[in-house]
Amino acid sequence: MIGAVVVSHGIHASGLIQAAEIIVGKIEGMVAVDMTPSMGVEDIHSAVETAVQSVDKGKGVLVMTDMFGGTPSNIALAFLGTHPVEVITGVNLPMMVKFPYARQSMALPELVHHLQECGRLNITVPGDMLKKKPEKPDKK
Amino acid sequence: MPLVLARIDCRLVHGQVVEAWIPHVKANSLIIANDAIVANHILRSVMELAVPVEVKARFCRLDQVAEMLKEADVADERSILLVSNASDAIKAWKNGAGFNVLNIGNLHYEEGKSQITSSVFFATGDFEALQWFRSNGVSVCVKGTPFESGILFEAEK
Repeated sequence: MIGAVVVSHGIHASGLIQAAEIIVGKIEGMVAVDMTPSMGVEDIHSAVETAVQSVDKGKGVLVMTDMFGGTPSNIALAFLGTHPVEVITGVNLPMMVKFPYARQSMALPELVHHLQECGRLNITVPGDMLKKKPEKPDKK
Repeated sequence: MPLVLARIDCRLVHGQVVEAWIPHVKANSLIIANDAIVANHILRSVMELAVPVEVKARFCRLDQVAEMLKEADVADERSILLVSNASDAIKAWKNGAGFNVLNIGNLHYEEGKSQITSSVFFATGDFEALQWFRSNGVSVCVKGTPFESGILFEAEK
């Protein structure tokens, strides 16, 4: 099973897991690293490393970070060469809820790109979508 | 076997249905039986947007349930039937939705209701409906998402 580590500024990471589990139920092998302002780079690095090791069951680990260029992301990138991980940035709830199903049928390199697509497609302006839709009279 | 899940959910189409139940029961059809939604174009359009493109959505009145199920059956689809409350579930059943297991996912809190699970609260009428289903050979399973254990009320015959 592919593991996952969600890393964020503040308590966004644990909040995302909590929110996702309301929708799809308990997600096994997924842990959060919440970065607090008091943590140093070394602290964060070792928290991420511990988290990656705790969910690595041999199929690799997906590290989901909140924002490209931010500290959680920058630190996560450092693991790309040294650990069996893929990193995806800009994590959102649609990506989180797709993860447990998608990992059943995909290897890590495919999974990371699938989630990138899910995350992008779910950023929508529904007002525009409704405007484009022709009015359908009700079949009575 | 076209009907793979019959569910009471006061929120009808939402995350738990789309992201958890549809893949779990491998459904490719959603039948939303709700008189108010059918009568309201805006509500209906908004809810339609939430349905994944690969899933066929049918919105119908409660007296059209049998017709919709037949249509889905002919198209060889696997359907989830959604109603928003217990009395609608009884109407759907009486109108020909021949399910023998009924899932209750969400019934929101109101003053005076009894808590069954974290997301399901019963009013007196809901307890009566539960009993009605059990005595008509329908088991009722209270659970929000597929992988939680839930609470099962077995049919009495």
